[in-house]
Amino acid sequence: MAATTVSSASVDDTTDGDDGFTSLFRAGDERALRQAYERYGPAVFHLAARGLASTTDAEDVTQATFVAAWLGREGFDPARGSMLGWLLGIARRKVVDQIRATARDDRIADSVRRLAPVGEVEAPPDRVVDRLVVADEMAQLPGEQRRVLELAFYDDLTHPQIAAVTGLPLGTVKSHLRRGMARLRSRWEVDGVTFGARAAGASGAR
Amino acid sequence: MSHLEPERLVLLALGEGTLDQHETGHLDTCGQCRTEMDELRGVAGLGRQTQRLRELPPPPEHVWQRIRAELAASDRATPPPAVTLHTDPPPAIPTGGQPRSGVPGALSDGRTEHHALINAAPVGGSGAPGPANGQAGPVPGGDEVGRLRAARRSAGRRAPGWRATAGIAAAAAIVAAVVAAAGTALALRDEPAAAPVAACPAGAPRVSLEALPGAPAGAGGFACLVTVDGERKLVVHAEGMPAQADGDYEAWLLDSTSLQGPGLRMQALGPMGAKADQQLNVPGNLDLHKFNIVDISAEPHDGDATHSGKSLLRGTLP
Repeated sequence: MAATTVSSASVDDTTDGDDGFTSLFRAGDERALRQAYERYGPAVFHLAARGLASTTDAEDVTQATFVAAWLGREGFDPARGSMLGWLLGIARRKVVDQIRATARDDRIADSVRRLAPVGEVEAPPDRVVDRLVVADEMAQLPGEQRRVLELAFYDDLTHPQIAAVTGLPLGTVKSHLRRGMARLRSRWEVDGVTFGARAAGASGAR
Repeated sequence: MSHLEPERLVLLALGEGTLDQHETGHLDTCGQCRTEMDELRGVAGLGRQTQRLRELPPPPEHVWQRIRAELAASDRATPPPAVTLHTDPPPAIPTGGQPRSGVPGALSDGRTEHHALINAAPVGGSGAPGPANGQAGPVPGGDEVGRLRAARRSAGRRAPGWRATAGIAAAAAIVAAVVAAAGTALALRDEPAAAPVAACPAGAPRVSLEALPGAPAGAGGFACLVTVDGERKLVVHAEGMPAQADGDYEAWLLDSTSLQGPGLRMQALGPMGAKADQQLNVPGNLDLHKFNIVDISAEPHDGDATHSGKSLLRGTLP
């Protein structure tokens, strides 16, 4: 990654540069289903695995998600969010359904040692969805911008430190941070689950 | 008082530096900056948690195999999801006279043409939960698929289970045919969504209602959920639906989860009046995560309050 000037890229670089793929999907081309599975299967599976104790359940939810997505593909509207966000929304509901079903089974089987109270388990998938869409957006940021954000997020560097590490001017670092954060925020707003909730409740974490 | 600078807010949200007195004072009084700050902190929090998500392992390959098997196994693999409900418009059986009775692989209960397939339909895929029956019922007569397809195109009819008789490749071909038929509707979808139309307020998630085979030419519309005085309503806009002398149109919400089980659950929302825009009450206890398929059917005045099986428009709520 040479020191490309990417500063103007943030607007044009929309989230879904895959119009062809999206319309193939909606048109029912089964290759597009496979493509969707390859691209987003890991995220869906991750969400399912995070929400469910059993790997088998996570696999079932992944399966159910893609089957439902395919059968309901005319319900996918790219104008309203990314395919990943849409798939994760389906997966999230499937996870919750699965948890409810498990809880129900557990209650029936053993009303005392029930593992997961139904009310509480609905939150984690939401948070995982948010992380996944933000991660997906991160991956799509222009290289230099992404690098700057990674140093801030993962290495906890301040902007002067980032400038020192990357050799970029301070102003550039700050502008990357601002633009990158703005993009992540828009994506979170579009595809995330807890966006409004977070902003409203001023609590800091989780 | 001027707002805090965007770059400053970002740095603060990332945990760089601390708020000075002036900034604290401003944040206390300025909701806009506070919201901005909270959202940016939220982003920073999420961003920090993305590190391990960059190289997620794929699901095991057998999951993909099962997806294929499940899709191949059932009628349900066709769009629109509602293979279950549709039957012929009465007049149209001009060509391909022999098809339905000759759907050998499908259901053998000899239902008649204008009959609802509501409960029967899932039978075609009722083995569903078990993925194994993927290729169940290779086409008994090779040309069945072709005949079914012809029948569908001409009469707009779907035979339940017709898909089950088809292999994947044939199914894909059928899907293509269906899509070709529905192509116009699909292509038009985004336009109306962008423009503010009729009774759906801006911001209300809107679903476009697409014509199913057998619907009058040019039929279409959209629907959205709104809340009026704390009550949920479904706003339905339907056009291209000529008045019927001997019947009317009715709106339903179908339980999408029951599409796969034995017995489709649905909620009647009531008949559609003469106006293009209708506002229909949605029962307060109805789970819209499940009952998320908007269905507009033609209902003859036959004294039968159940779904006629003749769905004309469909759309899935987000």
